Amino acid sequence: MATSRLYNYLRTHRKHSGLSQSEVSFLVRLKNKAELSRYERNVRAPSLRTALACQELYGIAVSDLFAGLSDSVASDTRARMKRLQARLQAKVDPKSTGNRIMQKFQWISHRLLAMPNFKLVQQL
Amino acid sequence: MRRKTPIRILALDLHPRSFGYVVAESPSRLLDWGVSSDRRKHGAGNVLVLKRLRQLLDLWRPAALVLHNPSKKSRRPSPKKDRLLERIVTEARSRRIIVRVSVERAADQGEILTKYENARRVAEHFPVLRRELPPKRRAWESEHYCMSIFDAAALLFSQRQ
Repeated sequence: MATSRLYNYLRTHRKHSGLSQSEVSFLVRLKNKAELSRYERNVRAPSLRTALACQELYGIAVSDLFAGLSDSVASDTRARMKRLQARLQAKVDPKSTGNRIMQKFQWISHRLLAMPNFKLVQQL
Repeated sequence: MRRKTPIRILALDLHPRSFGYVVAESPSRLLDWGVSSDRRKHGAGNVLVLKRLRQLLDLWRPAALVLHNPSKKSRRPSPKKDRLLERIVTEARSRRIIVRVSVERAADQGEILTKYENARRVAEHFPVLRRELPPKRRAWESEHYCMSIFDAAALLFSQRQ
């Protein structure tokens, strides 16, 4: 019995702070509380400016505030990196080490290895 | 490094025209809490389930739902509450949410506590709820609506133990 992380935790952090929707919308420069409500209910996605303002306000990293979105973007990017790595691998000539394709291939391979969930991605 | 996947639980304290709710992700991490009510004379149960509860289920996507059914224990029949409970259970099961209907309330761990003592114990466990704790009710006063949040939290607390 496990559930994935929620798309965002804006409502949780606002409730913990004890602030009202009107107060938070004033602090992060939104027009009104309805806009904040839409962000909290995942009806709309906030702008980068608003996301950074929320990070500043709650003292929580954007990737933790928008945890579910962050997870899905991360897995999607990793999957795309793997696809590009495979594409480059097909093109790369093992004898020539100095060419650009080889450099790109090595860079992507290093980035994938540096990722904490690399093994998990491979299993998937 | 594999990230632990959280289990979200929604606890409800039902009343014929309202319910208190608490959503938690780990034993001490509350995500949301509040009271949903509908004061119309007829069809309040419908509104509660169709609008308020569905909104909660859509927003928090809980893996489990914990409810309290005191009418199982008491002799006094409460058909309105039973119907509401039935509708909520049906709604939750249609979304493949595990439903647990508890007869016992409270974070009392076997002791017999008053509602207020129970709420205070819950507030000790979840410090964010301290500001919601209503003053002690006097004999001539009616129950504060926030007490429903504490009953739901106590239910969650007892299920976690």
